[in-house]
Amino acid sequence: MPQALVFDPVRLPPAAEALRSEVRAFVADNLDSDLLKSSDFGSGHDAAFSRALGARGWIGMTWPAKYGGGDRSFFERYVVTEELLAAGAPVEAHWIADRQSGPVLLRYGTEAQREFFLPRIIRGECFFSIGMSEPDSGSDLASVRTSATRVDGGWVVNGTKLWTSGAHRNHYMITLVRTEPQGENRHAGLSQLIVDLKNPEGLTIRPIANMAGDRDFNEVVFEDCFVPDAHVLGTPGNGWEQVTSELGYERSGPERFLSSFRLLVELIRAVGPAPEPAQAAAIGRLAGQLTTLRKISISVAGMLQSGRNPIVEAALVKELGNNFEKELPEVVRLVAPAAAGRLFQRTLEDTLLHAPSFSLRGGTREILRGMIARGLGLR
Amino acid sequence: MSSATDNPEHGEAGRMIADTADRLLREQCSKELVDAAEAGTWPAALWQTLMETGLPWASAPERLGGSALALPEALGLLRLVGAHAAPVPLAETLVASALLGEDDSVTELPEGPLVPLLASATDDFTARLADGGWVLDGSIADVPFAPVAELLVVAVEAGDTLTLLRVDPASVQLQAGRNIAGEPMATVAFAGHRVAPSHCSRCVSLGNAEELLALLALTRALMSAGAMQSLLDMSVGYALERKQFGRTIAGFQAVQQQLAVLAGEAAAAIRAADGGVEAFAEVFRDDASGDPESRARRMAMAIQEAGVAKARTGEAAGRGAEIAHQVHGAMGFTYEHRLHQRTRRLWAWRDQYGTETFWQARFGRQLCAAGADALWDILTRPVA
Repeated sequence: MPQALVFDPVRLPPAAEALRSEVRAFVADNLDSDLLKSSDFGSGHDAAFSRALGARGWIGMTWPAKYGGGDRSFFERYVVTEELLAAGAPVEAHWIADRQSGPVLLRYGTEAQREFFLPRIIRGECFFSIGMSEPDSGSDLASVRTSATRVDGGWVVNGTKLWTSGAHRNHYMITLVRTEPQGENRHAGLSQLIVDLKNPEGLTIRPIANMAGDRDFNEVVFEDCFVPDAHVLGTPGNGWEQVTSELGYERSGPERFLSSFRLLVELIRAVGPAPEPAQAAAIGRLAGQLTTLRKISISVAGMLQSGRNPIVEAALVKELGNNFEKELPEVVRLVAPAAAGRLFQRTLEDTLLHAPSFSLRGGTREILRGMIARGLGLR
Repeated sequence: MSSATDNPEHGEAGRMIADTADRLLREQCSKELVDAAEAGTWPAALWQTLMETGLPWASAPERLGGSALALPEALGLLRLVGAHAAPVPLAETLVASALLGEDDSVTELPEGPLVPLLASATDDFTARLADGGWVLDGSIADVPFAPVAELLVVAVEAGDTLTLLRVDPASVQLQAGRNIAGEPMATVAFAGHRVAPSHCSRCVSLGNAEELLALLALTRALMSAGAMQSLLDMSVGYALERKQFGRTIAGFQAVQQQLAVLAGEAAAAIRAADGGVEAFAEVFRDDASGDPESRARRMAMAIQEAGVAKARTGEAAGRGAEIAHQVHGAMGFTYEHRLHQRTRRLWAWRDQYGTETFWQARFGRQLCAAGADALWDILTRPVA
């Protein structure tokens, strides 16, 4: 197999395992047990919960101590995030800032930017959105048309970003813009700007309801919106490289296969201790697929820990993981007991209504398969 | 990183044997040799060469001429059987020689294949103690490689011990046949066969039939993982060679997408199978404390992980074979092509020692018994 697709066995070190019971106790103390729980990372925006996590040191865990980070390993972060997701904790508010905005700031930000943003993110006080997609730019990200024009002391932005989760509640958005007209190299002339979402000058944020009835994502319209030089992220023109560097972080984590997990929990609750053969087989099948995915995902955490940027491996985790979390409700509904109860039914409906997004957000299935094919040397 | 990395294949002795065996199987397991084996010609020369590398006896003790490699470490080598479609009972001999070797009174074993037998619930097999030995009745169906065995090793349960009985194949009735991969198998009928006390060995590492079943299932998971790797390599290679519409078919997105799915299934199969090895390594590691509770915990985890490995590789086998054949087109459907030597083995192995459903239902029953709120804890429990 091409080297790109080898997943070495990696075991979580004891320091990471030791965190597990701490997180479980924290969740038990801080989570309303009557809440309809979802393991979808995008399903619960709760600033107070994020601040409480920050106070425990569970945001920015792998970042340097000089910015308030935990200097901890990717394995420790892995345990904290998978425990929170599995419990159905509301992690949406700080999720993007913790997973990718912070790491990108660490890699490409100026010292002033790091000193300003990172401690705030770590305390659970500063939330980020991703400003990549546009009305005419989905999978074809390099085609973005939102433009930034050089002016004295900064840039003036015009254009529209779409599907921007949390933009109406979050504080900043790392926005991919075109700073030079598109030439022969489509990947050149792109830049990243840190846009202050709380500054109303030239910025309109309109919520877009999704099919599940959530009002979480938005259309963000820029009309001569000024962004100061201090908020340019990295090098103007280097945006494509910077954006693709986030992908290893974005695609390999437990959030790529745990989105439907609570439904499996509720199926077992509804079935009880003596399952029918078909119920037992369905539960065992899903559980075995999940533990296998988790092993692969932890293997990629090991690659991140050793400083690699496993883009193709991460794409494979997301591809396998999205298929699993989408298939889960399909398998579950066919073996569910007739009177499974209200909680089960609500969890099933909630999962089904969100499932179409699993293989769209963060890179569509087709794009990911294309990346894997490239890793196999097919293109 | 080394503290967090634990690759069971990375032992020095294991790697040396693996490198040698890989080269040897690549050279010797030609299309023609596998064809001949499937037609009934025992590949004696291949077996002899393998014996010279020490692979079949890698985990037997040195007094029997083995390399005393920990059995789980040696199991990792079984991926090679799948990768090369090796038509020999390497898994069977490896496991049987290791387990028999735990009995100090066993001082000699035949050089030919050793084949373990384990009755399933549907067999009419019975075993009863008599005069310190055993009397065997009824039969065990579809035993892989029994027709080429020089020694049958029948596993029987008594109380909390598993006993291994050495039976000369010539002394029992074999009704031989072949599976879909052309591998020999037989239904073995015992008809009151008596096993003398001198031919009975208490199994030390394994305490009951289910533990042995899990270990044998893991051998199939590993062989299947190796075959999945081979399917991916062959399919990618073919897609890069085969031209249609003026370009290689690798250039078509429809083909790329299918091969990406195959790569995912191969990765899942390999990782799941390795997970079974890691869990069994914890059972076989030196346990100075001898704490029976710790041993029971590690064994329960090993059975769970072997079951997951068997089920996940079985799922991957069906999906993987489907894609590999589709990519190979009519070429791969011909007898001349070696693809089917892998895909037919995948189809055979997924039905041996418990299908996907068998192992999934076992895991599912355990999870239901433990209850909804214990699920996550069980799924995240470390192997050690």
